Amino acid sequence: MNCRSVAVAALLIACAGVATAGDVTGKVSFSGNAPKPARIMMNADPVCVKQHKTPVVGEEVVVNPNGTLKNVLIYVKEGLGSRKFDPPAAKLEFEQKGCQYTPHVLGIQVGQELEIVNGDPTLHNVHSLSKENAQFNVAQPKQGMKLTKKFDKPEVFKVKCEVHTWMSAYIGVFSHPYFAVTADDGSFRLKNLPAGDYTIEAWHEKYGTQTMKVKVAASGGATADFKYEGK
Amino acid sequence: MFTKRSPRPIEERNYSVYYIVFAGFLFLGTMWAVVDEVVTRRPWKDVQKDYQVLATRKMSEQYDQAVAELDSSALVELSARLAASQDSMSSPVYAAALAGYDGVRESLAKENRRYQFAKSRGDEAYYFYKKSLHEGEENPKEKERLAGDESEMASHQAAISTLEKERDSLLAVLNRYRAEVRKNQSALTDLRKKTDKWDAKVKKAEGAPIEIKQVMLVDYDKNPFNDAKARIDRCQTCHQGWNEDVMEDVPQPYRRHPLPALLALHKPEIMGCTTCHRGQGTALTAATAHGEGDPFWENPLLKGIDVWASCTTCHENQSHLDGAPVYSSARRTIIESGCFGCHEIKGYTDLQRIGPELGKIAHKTDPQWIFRWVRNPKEYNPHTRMPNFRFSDDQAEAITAYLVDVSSRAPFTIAHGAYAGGNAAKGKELVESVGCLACHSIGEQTKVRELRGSSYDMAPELTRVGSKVTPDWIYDWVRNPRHYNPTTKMPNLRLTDGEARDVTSYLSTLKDGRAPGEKILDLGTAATIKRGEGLIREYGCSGCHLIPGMEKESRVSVSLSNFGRKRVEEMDFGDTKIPHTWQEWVSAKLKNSRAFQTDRIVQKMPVFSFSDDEIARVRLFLLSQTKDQPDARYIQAFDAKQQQIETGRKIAYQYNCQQCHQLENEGRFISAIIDDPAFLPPIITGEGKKVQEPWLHDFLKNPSVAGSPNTIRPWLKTRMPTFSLTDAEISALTKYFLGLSNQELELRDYRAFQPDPVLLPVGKSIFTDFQCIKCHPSGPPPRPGEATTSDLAPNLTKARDRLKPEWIVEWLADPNKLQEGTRMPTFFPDGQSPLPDVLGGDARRQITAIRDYVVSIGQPARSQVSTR
Ligand SMILES: [Cu+2]
Repeated sequence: MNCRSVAVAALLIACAGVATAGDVTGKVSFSGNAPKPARIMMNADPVCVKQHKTPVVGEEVVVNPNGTLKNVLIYVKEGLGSRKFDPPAAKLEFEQKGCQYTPHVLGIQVGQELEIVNGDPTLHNVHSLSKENAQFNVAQPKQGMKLTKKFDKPEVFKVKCEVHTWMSAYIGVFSHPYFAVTADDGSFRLKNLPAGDYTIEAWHEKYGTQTMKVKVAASGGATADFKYEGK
Repeated sequence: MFTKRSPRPIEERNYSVYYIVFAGFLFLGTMWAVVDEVVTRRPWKDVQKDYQVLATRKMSEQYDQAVAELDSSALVELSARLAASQDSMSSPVYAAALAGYDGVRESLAKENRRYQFAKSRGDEAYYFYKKSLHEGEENPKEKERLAGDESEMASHQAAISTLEKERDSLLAVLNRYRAEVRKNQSALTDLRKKTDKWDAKVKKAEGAPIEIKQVMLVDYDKNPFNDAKARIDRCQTCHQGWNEDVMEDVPQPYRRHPLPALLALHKPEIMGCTTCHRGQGTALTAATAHGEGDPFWENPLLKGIDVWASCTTCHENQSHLDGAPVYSSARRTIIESGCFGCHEIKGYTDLQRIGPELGKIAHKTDPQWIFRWVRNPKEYNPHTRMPNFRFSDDQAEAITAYLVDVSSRAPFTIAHGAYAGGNAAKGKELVESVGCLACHSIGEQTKVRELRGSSYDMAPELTRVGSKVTPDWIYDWVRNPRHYNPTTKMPNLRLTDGEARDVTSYLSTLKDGRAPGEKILDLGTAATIKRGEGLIREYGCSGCHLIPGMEKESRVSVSLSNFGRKRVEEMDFGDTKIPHTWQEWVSAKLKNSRAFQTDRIVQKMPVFSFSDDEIARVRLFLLSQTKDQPDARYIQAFDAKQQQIETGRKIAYQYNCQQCHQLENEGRFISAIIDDPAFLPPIITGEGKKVQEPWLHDFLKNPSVAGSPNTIRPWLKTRMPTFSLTDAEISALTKYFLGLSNQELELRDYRAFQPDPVLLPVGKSIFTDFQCIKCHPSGPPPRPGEATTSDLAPNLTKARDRLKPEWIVEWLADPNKLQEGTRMPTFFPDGQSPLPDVLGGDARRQITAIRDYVVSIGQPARSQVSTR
């Protein structure tokens, strides 16, 4: 009999029986002046230019119409103790489309598969600037080429394309499933956290990190609202 | 008067009580001796018992984990399958086949025998028949007999071949059953490999005998008569876990050695432990073995980083060892601090002086500055490598007087006013981008120094340079440093006149705001000058500086050749109260070289400002300076190749290539001020494998000028300076790079390399498919001033004359392996080609094809010649 599966089963029973789970929700608001989004000139590669009818701007700071900040990575930093989480079987997709990365900020679990796709009829290369995980730098010269990667260690790192110097994205790797990226409404939800005390961290590529302590009660969840300020 | 003795005659007295009591004492004493010998004096037995418990527990944990990880359903299934396959061997089918097989074999043997008999009879008949023919009378009877025998043989033969077929088919049946069992057995073994491994280890640990573990090196040491002397090493008696991964985090003496990779090269099973760690190898108690608590042990254990001193024993001629960064950095500290200027140090007697020439110093700066500098160099520049001699005002005045006197007589002229018209802001930008900051700190810009982690700078800090030298001098210097100082290691950054004016303008603004008071100096008196000359000789200034009239001075201080074995009794501790040990003496001396000075004993060694880390490193180097030498076969041969490497390495150190480049895993300190690795100067450890020797020669002679058609990496703002190397230096560097890549200098006609005509067009099509041209401009070099299409990657028209053909293949296979952090991506991840239809999807062939195309780019004239 597999001892580990017994242990996991016991843990699941314990979780279900004793500590009920709750969601941590919140939003990331933004005040002050955001830098004017920089126009991206794609002249170096005509294939890129052709794919855009409207001017393209950088995604370093994207303030939503409701005054919230997009592309903020929110995750549990501390409080999960020694719990272990198996990676989900579902793959995540990371695409190079119109000479930009979609999504611009992505969260993934340790061991989970990431499928990197070139959706453009031009050469891209994905160069990871990871520190904990092994770096890679793979060219995808043809449209539709795919590359599958997994990461072993938690960290947030940058990904860039060397052909198109404006292309950059960030990938956050976590040892647990409790992370989210803010979208067009600036809100997030970390689902089904077991009751307990947690440190939640927000990460933004320009404005850095903020942390907040929350308590997830046995019944119901908790709220964590972050505020970033432009200068 | 005598007291009356016992009336009983001696024969009748009974001494058994005494006898028993003393016999008892004797018995107890014997018992005590046995216990003491077996238990008390063998503490290692307890250590081994504890180890056994600990190791068994740790290994059992691994075993349990392996069991937990074991795919139990697969195990059940495989075991069932194995049992089934073994069972099936007792099935009627198998039994029938086996019985049939045995029967057939028996019949086959019989049939063979019958055939042999028939053959013998046939031979006999044949003989007689032939004989009758010879005798002229054919014997029909024999002929008949012969025919009968032959037909009998044929019938046996037929039976044999039938039986053989039958046997083979039965054997095939048997083998099917047997193979199934074997297959299941080996699958089960594979599945249980890990559990079985740990099971075996646990059993071995549990049953390990309690015994002394000893390594004997028969011929490592020599006695004073130069005969081989055995070295006995019993460290592993207690340090049993040195090779067990599970013992990584446990306390000593059970812990695994922290550097398994190093042990793979220096096997403790053969070399023992004391060869590196020292200590009393034969001892069996920790205190004696380690030599603790008593200053008179001959070989105390080397503690902390001191253990790296041992590398010198066998590698004394190498300034860098790949597996020993501490050793290498200790050596570099010695070289950079210029210790060899005053002390004779083996291997470093041929290095260039580390300080600047002083022959023209009066043309560079004014006497007031020289005086203040001689008085205390750290006052002007706290991170200078020049140590403080703590000269008095009078001494400093005399030395200044001598220097001013000899140098003002030297001919040196510079253009006056040529510097005028520079733009300080532009100059600042240049200083911050072309690479000056890699060696010179300015004000707050100290990141490189911090990354380097040394207490000293490799080039003068420029924060106050505007108060030291005039704009005229700066302009002359930055345009060509060798004009003022022909032996300087400051390279030429090929500034244009305009750039030089800008830089001069900026540097001239860097003033010393502290306004030191002027001191009235008497510099002209002959007596003062004479006294200065004496002081300079006495204190050995010419060990670091080239000074007119003192070019051939010998070293002023002692040789360090056996300093590591200097005895404490030979060391003078002055009035200090520090513990009398070698280590304490050396540390105190390096911290403050005048620490042991008394009113009677004057010390002349100048005071360095080493950090504690540097003191530890210098100390370990000193510890390594011994005459202990093992038998020649243990010493790393300093053969031609090693000599070439070491010679080139010293030149690389002298010009400080490592400040910007990564070389032998050292350096690249400029990365402190360049964020993106793509903009860093390249890693050059593998340069020998990469570039053609004639190209390297031309490049080192005259590195390409930024922005010119020859620029290899137009995207770099940092400039590869011109070091004005001599041909001999370039040749030494070339051999060094070749040596690092395990190559020899040989005459190769790189132009003779011909692309494969079949692969060439394929390579061209892959080159197009991969869109290489997106980043690599590969047309003719752009004319000056013409906008380039791309500045992302080197222009490939130069590949043919620059790169070694075999290197291109290696590069294309995995660029990051050769140049970590390069922007060049791999097109063949995990060695797989993304083009399955080209050249049968063979990545290696495709890479060769690309290479063949790349070397043909930009060579139209050549290919025309060859086709004509
Ligand atoms: Cu791209």
